[in-house]
Amino acid sequence: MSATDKQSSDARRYFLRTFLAMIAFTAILVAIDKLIDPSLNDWDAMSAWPLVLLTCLPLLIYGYEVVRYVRSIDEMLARMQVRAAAVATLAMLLASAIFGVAEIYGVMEPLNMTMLLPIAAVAHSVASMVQQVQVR
Amino acid sequence: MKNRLKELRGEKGWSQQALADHLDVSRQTVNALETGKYDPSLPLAFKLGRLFGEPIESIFDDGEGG
Repeated sequence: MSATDKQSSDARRYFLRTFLAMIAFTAILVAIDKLIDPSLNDWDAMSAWPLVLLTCLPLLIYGYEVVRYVRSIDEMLARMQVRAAAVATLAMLLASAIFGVAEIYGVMEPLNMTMLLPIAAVAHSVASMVQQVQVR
Repeated sequence: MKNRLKELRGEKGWSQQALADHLDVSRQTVNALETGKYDPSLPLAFKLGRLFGEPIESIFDDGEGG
């Protein structure tokens, strides 16, 4: 198998598994929110922690797949992914600062922190695509 | 950074894909190297030097040479 074939195979695995991890993460969040919301069931705070850990599971799988993918690709593509991750982190920090200030001043309703994750995902994808275009 | 990769690859009669396979990188990376849009790491530069049998400084020109 050539380097390109191997990288294509790794990329397919990466996109499929991270996509499934995000679907699982969203499904668990929705399930917790709609079906087993601790506040609706009079659960105490300690009982809710296993649910928090449950949402962490797909995120851990996501993180593992990202690290595995970055280690499997060549140095230029890996550098692009790391830069894109830095951009995504910055976007998430900016979004949390903006939404946080807006919330303090009553401009908007309190936001669930997990809503920041899609912002990071979009920022990562855009930063990755921009870099791909730049080296063409 | 300017380089002679395209010329050296041409002398070997290799496609970008063939060079990519020799270097264990993607064709996209070879293209970026040839067009000077990406500067390789030192290990990759040494790999290129060994592959073409040339010293690194004869392949890459950073414009600082006298």
